[in-house]
Amino acid sequence: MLRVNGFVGHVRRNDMLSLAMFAGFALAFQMIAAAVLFVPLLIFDTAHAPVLGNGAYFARYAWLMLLLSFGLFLIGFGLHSDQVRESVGFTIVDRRSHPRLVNIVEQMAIAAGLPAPKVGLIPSGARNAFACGHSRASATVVVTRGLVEALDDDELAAVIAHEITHIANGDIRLMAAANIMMGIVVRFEKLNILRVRDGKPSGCLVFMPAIMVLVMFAGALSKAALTLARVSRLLLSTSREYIADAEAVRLTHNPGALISVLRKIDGRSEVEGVDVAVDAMMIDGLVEGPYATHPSIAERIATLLALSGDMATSGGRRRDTRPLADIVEHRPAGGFGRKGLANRAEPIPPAPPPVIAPKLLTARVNKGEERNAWGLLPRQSRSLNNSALLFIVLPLVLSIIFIDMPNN
Amino acid sequence: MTIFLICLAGAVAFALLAVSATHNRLMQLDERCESAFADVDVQLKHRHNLIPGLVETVRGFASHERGVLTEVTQARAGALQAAAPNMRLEAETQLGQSLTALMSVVEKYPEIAASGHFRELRAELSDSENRITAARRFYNLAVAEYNATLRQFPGNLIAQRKPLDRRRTFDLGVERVLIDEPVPISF
Repeated sequence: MLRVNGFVGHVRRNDMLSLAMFAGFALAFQMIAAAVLFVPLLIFDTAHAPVLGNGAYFARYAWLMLLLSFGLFLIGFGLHSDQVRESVGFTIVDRRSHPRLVNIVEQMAIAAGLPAPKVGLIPSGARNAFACGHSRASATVVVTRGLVEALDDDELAAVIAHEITHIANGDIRLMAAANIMMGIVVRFEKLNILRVRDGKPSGCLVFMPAIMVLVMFAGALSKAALTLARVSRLLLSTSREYIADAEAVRLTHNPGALISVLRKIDGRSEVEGVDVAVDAMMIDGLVEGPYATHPSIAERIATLLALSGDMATSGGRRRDTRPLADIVEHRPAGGFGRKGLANRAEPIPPAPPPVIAPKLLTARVNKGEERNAWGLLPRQSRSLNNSALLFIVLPLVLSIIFIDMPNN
Repeated sequence: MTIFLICLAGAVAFALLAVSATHNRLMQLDERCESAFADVDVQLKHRHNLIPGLVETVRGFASHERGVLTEVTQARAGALQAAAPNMRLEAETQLGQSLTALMSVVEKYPEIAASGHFRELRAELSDSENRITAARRFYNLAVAEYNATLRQFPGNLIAQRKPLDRRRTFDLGVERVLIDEPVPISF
């Protein structure tokens, strides 16, 4: 059923994957809830506490928690408001000021069978694009000026087709929902009273072995839940990106242009001051770290090449209706010529070396994370180790001293 | 016994699910092939529409090259009339060849190549040619996926029950890189 013979199979497989990822969020919520509920249930309802209740917890509370997560999700989904615009600061443009861009957006919207979305422009030299808005009717496709200037018509069409697919598939709402689930899991993780907080010393735990086991267990559980939620979001977003790439090829019939776009934006896509929630809908975003949402460019190009075969490598001549002044490659490096033109955009940053993300998904989302698998900061973990060592070594030393003493 | 029955029911349910999923996939692929072919069709129609203008322009300069001009006109008429996919394929191949012949004849008449109108037409024709190629390749990808799914298990079982035929790819002979603007060489 999940066999991939081509584009349709690829899209279907990723659709199934993103469905499965919501189960991942539900499971993460269950794990957090068990850790949070442990102490209150131990006090008020010992018979149904997790672990101790011999499975009775699942019969009584796990179902309630599942319903609760679903309810919280629905509430968040309903209340989610259009926060994108304030955080990025784009301006809506029209046909008069940007005929080339608006034309391409309209062509792609017609190809996808959608009402033409509004077009936004971010005055930034970075190369990126995203889609936002609640419904298909109120959607906006936003591109950066750096992107419009760097891409020819076919490439720009490929980017727009990618974003329009996000709109057509309802990915904007889906990722908003994923971010809400993520927020719920993170907030619940903070409710865990057994959590070792940042400022708290952990060394003294050694002297209360029963509590220490509990704290370590709860810490590991909530850390695992957090990782699971992050991996779920990464996979969900990754699968939506793959689908958008595949559908962009269907709309433009030009995988070569999309691959060339990916190469052009690689490492130059970071727009300053962008909300993480927006990042999920960007054509290129974070590949690793807690907020990772995108597959790496290399993986995406490899996937496109595998799916489209020789269609990707042998394309016809590209269309290019950019005004000559806008073509980045033709602009003088500065110092002579038409100064006004050269200064219009900020200088293009040189492409940094490509990001090579760790293969393991858990390693990818936990990159840069300070807390270890037990939910402890390095300092806390060190102090706990030292105390534990002391706890073991001190009795040993003492016993040696006392055993060696003459027995008189 | 009960466990055995549960396992059996599970296996049957799984098999049914797999078959229905594959069936749906095949239908989706069939639809995809149809729409991809329609895309090719649109591009071919566009090329058909360009040809009369092109023929008239050439006739204006070189009306005595009757042979080539008639050939193109007839090939176009043939392509418009062809209904069955196989005949269609042949007719379009024929049309492509006659267009190539026309373009090589035009090389003899610098005044045609210098005409702005002809240059526009040729650029549009070359653009249309590129689009046909792209749409055709995408159609071929869809057909390849459809055929592969049809031959794999359990698609092959479904194909026995339902009248699902393998589709033919749309190949116009050798990949032609034609009618592109000639590279200007100056000394």
